[in-house]
This record gives sequence, structure tokens and C-alpha cells, in this order.
Amino acid sequence: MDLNADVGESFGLWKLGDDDTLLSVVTSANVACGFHAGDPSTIRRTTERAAALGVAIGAQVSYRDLVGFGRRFMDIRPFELRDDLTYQLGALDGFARLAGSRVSYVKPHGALYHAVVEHEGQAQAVVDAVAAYSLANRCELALLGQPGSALLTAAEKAGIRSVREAFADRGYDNTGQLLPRDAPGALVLDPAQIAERAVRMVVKGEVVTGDGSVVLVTAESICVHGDTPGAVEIARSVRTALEGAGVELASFAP
Amino acid sequence: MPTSASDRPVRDGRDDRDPPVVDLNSDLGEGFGSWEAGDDEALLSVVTSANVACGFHAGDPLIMRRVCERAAALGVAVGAHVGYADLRGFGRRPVTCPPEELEADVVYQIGALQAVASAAGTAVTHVKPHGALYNVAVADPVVADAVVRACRSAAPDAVVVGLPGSHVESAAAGAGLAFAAEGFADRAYTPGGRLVDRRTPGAMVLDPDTVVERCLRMVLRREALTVDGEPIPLAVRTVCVHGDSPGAVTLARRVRAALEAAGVVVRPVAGPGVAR
Repeated sequence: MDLNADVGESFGLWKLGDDDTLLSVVTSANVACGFHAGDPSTIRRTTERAAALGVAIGAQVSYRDLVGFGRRFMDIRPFELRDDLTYQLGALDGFARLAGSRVSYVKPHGALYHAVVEHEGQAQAVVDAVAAYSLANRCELALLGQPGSALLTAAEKAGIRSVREAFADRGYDNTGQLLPRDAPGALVLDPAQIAERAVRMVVKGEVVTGDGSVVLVTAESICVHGDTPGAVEIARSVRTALEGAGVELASFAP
Repeated sequence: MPTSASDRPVRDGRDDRDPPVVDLNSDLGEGFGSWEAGDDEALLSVVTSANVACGFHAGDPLIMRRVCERAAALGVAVGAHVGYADLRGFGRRPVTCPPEELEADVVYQIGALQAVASAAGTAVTHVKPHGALYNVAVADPVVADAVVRACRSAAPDAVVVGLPGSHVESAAAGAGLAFAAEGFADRAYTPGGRLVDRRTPGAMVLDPDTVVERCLRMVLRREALTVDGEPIPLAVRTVCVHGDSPGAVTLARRVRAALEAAGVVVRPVAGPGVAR
């Protein structure tokens, strides 16, 4: 099983998250590429650290929205989105190569992540950018996203490896979909409970919903959040619990 | 160095037997989007003037609005903290550009803050250059003129805040704008009254007791100290307390308490209800 987290989300003098510690816990790093967060020096430090620790580097691509931290949906045309993503991929991969590694997967960030669950035009734009980049650079970038999303469906059609992820700290409804952030029970805060949910997701492939029902969740990666209070402690407890249950942790990326 | 208007006694034209007066200013609203910086809320309860970042080096419309609303509620004067267009560098890197470009950038920032301030029920009553622009304008008359021209066209009634004896001061005097000489209790000065580069050893005063002591000296005796500890004459109407370092709020509170205990009246240089 893979553990992924968002890192490199500082910008200039503004710091966010404890990347150094988080990178010592996870197996895949979603590195911000400068559009919602991250600047060249932050990207350099983050890719160097990830490479040194053998953590897989993923491009956390976003709408161009620094002030909104990429959390606001932008109704941009698919070709613009494709080109914005190509730009971010190239930028991050440049630093990843300097650090002796490569970008091995792509994960849309924030509002884009949620948009491509249903927005087929934007989902296809993400897939187009990833497919063209892989072809031109003789690599096979994977796409990390929500199970059942338009993004992963389009990825499979295009022959791109799609990787499904689950969230141990988020509530699910009885159809196996994530609850909206503002719904009751949408956010799980207790580290022990989060760790327990992660183990159940990975070992049994299921999650308990708000009314106590058990639904199936299939995931090849568990996302741990990095910017909340106690984030590092939560990530550590998830890792420890999974290892305690006999789960081997490794990146899904080669 | 240009002739300094601040060589004159700094008493706002009041009688010498009146207690000394000083303004405490702080740089606020320096977060951006999801990124936070400094405890604006706490500092606004201590200072009398807020230098509000206008979006070029830090700050965004929502942060600007929140700081202005809070400042208005607390009676703190609002000023435009204008900087180079350099978010990533936080306005600390000198940007070389034609003076008309700089002038337009400063007009733009003042105008933006004026709109936000008026929506919050207050007004922009001073302008202070930020970071690299502050330092460059001290010594470069072309840059100082561009900043002052922008103030004259966008905020002719606002007070320009800057280093005493700087080109900003002489440019403001030449343009007929009010100027408020600013001092830094946490910085060492050159014998000529300039700030020692912050990278020079001894340039930054870190010990809180020393900062408080230097502030009292500045206000009561009109003196600053050099790196070697030599006093130099320096008359200021406003003292900057920094808000972005650990312990900043505690230090600002101590500075204010010490000034008031020494009989100093702490009040804004300009702002709602302040006559000049």
C-alpha cells in the first residue's frame, strides 16, 4: 500500500506544513508546482528531500490560483487546462531530474481534483496533458484520483495507469463517495480513529459510513493530509497502524 | 544628505512643556491567501498606525478588508504599505524599473487600499514604502520622487512615512506633502543616520530589554545608537514595531507600556480625528 501527502505548499516567505517530517513518513509526495502554491526554491528543496528519502515524486497540478490556493473551481477551456498542466509537469520534472529522480505520477489538486470527478472536458484535458508528456518523455506517468471519477475512467481509456486513492480522515456516504466537507461527519479528527479506518480500508477494503453501514472502498493509495494541526502525528499513526497490521508500505509508482 | 526637516523639534507645534508624543506603527496584513503572517489582531490592539500591505508584496483583498475593518473598530490609523510587485520575494528584493512604472504601481496600490478602507469605514491617511522600496527610496532620488509623485496624485492629504534625512523626506517636502520621520528601535544606525544593512552583524537588536530602552531613548532624548553604541541625534514622530518575529506582540506591548509609563502620549501621526 502507498501513503501519499501534499507537500511543497509553501510560497516565498510563507511556510506551510512540516514537509521534512512528512516526507519521512509517506511513500509518495504530491509536490505543488507553483500554480496554487510552491515556488522554484521550494520545489527544489522538496524534490531533493523526496529523492534522498526514496519517496516517489508526483505533480500536484492545479488551476492557476495562488490567492485561492487552487480551491476555487475555474471554468477554463480544456486546451488552456491541458497547457497549464503541461507547464507545471515540465517545471516539476526539471527539478526532479536535477535531484536524480523523475516525476512518476500526477494528482490534481483542490478544486481541480473535485472538478474532474464529473467534469469530462476537464478530465480529458488532464489525461491529454499526461499522455502527451509521457509519450514525449518516454515515461509512463500514472494518474492518482478518486475511484469512479471521470478522470480515472478517461485515463484507463487512454491507456494511462489509474491509481485509486482513499481518505482515512474523511467520511463516506452509503454509495462509497466522499461526503462534502461541510456535511456532518465529513472530517475525522481523532488520530486513533483515522489509523483504524486506514487499516480497515487497506486490509478489508471497506469503510464505515455515518449510519454505521459498511461500504466497499478500493484503493491503492491512502492520502494523509499535511496542513492540518497534528498532521504529522496522524500520518505517523496511520503508518504505524498499517505496519502493525502487516501491510507493506511502498509507492505504487515504479 | 538632504537638509532634514526633522532637525526641528518634533512636538507637533505644541508647547515644550507638553508631554512628548509618538506614534507606534506596524506592518500588518502580510499574509496572502491561505498563508498567514503575524498576529494582526493582537498588534492592532497595541499600535496606533497600521501599515497595510496592498497586494504587491503581500496581502490580498480579503486580508486588506479584515485589517481595515479591525483598524477602524479600534481607531487605528490606516496607511498604504506600498511595495514592489514581488510576492515571492516579499518585496525585499530591489526591482529596477522605469520611474513612471513604479509611480503607477504605487498609485494602484494606494487606490486599492483606499477603496477597501472606505468600504470598511476608514481612510488611508499615511503611505509608507515597504522593504526594498523603502531602502532604495532612502538613497535614490529618482525612486523617492516616483513614490512621492504617486502619493501626491493618489493621496495628497496623506502623510508620507520614511527615514529622516532620506530622499523621501526631501521629495515630500518639495512636493508639499506632510512627512513623518520614522525610527526603528530594533535596528542599529550608521553615524550618518541610515539603517545598517540587516545582514551586518549587530544590525538587528534582538534583546527585548534593549529594544525597549532604545525606544525610550529615541522618543525622550531623540537619539539612536550606532553599531558601536555611539549615540547620534535622531528625531522621529513614529516608531516601527515589527510584527512578524516570534515574541513580536509581547515586545510591542512592552514598548507601548514603557513609553506610557515615561509619560509619552502614544497616538497616530495622522488618521481619523487627528489634526495636523
